[in-house]
Amino acid sequence: MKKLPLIPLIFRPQVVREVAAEGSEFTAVAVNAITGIFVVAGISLPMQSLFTKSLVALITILFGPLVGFIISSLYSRVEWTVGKRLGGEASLDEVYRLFAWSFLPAGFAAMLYGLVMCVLKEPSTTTEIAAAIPLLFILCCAVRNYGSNIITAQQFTKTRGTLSIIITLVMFLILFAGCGAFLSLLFTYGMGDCTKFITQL
Amino acid sequence: MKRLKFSIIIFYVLLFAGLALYDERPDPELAREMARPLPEVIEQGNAWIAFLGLTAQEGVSPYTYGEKKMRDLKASIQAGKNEREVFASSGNKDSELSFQGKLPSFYSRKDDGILAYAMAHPDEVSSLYSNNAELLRRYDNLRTYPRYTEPLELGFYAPIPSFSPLRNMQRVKFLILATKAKQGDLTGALEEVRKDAEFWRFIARNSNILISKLISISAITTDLRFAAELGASRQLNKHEMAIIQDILKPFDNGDISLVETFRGEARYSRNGMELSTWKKIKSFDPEKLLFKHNATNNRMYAYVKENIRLAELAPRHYADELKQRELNKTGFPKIGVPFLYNSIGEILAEIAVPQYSNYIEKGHNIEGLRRLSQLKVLLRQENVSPEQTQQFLNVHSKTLGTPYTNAPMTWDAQKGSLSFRSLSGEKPIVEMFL
Repeated sequence: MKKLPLIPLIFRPQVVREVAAEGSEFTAVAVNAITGIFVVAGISLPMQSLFTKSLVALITILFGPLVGFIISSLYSRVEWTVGKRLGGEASLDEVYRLFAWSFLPAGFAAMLYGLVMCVLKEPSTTTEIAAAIPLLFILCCAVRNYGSNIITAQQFTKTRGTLSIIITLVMFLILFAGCGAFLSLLFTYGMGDCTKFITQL
Repeated sequence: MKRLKFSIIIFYVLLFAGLALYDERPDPELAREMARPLPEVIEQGNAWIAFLGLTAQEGVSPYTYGEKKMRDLKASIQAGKNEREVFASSGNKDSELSFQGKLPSFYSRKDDGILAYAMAHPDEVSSLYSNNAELLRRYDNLRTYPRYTEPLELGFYAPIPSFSPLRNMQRVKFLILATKAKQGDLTGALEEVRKDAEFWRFIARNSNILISKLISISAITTDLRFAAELGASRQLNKHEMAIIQDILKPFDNGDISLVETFRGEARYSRNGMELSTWKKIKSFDPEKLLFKHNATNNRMYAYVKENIRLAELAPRHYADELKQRELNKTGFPKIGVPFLYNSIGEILAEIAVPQYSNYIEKGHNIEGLRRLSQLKVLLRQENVSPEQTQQFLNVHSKTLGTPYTNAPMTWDAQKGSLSFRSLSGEKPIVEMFL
């Protein structure tokens, strides 16, 4: 099995493109699942004062992959649809793989950040911000890698590519907000007094 | 690839369906507790009914009034009325008797005891007696009731008797007894205090909900402090000393223990939830997917069981346990795996439960207060000088030391007070002025 170039994966878009092209669709699905686990772990690990360890572990293992699948599938599909409308050449499969491999390092960094917050135990705001800097840097690199590779895959000019990425992001956020609004309506009108009482606490 | 995606979708659909439909089996101990038959509340001789009707208008017996309130309430519940209508059905407050006058708070500073107040304010005492004669007569009559049974089956719908007139009448009565003692009849006064103490110990023993337990502990506190004040007012003869010792005798199991109270609270809360919350959730309600009946009840009962275990510990072991928890930062409830299938119930069980540890401490503190009262009387009777007081406390530490460590009580010569340190910050020092 070929060794994965971890550090170049963070900094070099070309490496991401090569790894994405070489890997199978199944691998991309697995990578998205793992990224989802990393992200959910990063969020839930610092919450061990509120949740038991078993619950944190179960939420991470059971719902991490789901979060990864939903976000990656939804975002890739929106990206591909917007790209097609703008005359792009990339297939859905290509976009999906690029998304998976671009954001894997960021997911890992999120988990590391969660672990650091867990170990530090009630860190100050300054410490929290300082610890978040590497994560933010890697996230920026991930966005850069993804953007650069999407432009290449779609065979866009820089302007068209940037426009495609921005429209995709906005559409994705609208979709997300729409789901949130639907759930909120369900909560307000579908749930009973007890649930409402809980949300007011 | 399509097969993989399909499998993933099926897996999560089954997972969510399983979580949505799954509910735990009822805890067998909880089921046994709920199945235990409760004695009938509306029955002649139940002091709780008389408590409920204590402030009945002139000419109406407290028991009759309390009985009517209960029957009206039960009829409203059976008729399926909403909460507002149910609570409105329990009596018309406009025509009820109320306490007339003002009472200071006693025993918070030096020289603010009941005896001292009665001596300094004879007119006020006389006025309090004449303006509240009927309530006082009813208060005295409560001692004739042989039973005390609370309506646990009604849960939150059960009316709470107004305990304020009871506490006020106890203090008015003691003011009158203080006057009686100063006029020369100390024996008669002590006898009445003994009867009062017996009454409130009886209520405490039979209290199955927190509010009545805490009220009775508070009333017993007044009994102890007033008895100590009377016992230290002059040299006592043999008979008077025997009465004092009887008032200040150790507590029987159940007087101040909160074990049965917590069991009662568990039943009270569960019945309250059954009548209010669970009744409102229909079978097709989406809320049912996240709010499971058995899982919620089990979780709440688990919390009660843990507090029952803590309440059963002797004060020293209880203090050690709290210290360990503070050091290890354990004992703080966390949301567990049941959150996955019972999100609402799990959060409710974490948030909507009171801090029972404070109440357990109140029970232990009153044992400390009993020992302080004993010491106060003994110091006077044995004519111990201020200089010899600490040594006296050291000698008696085995039986009359602090309840949490059995160390001698602390003597503050400047303030003229005996004290011990309790466990929590709410009232760190329990003090008795000589």
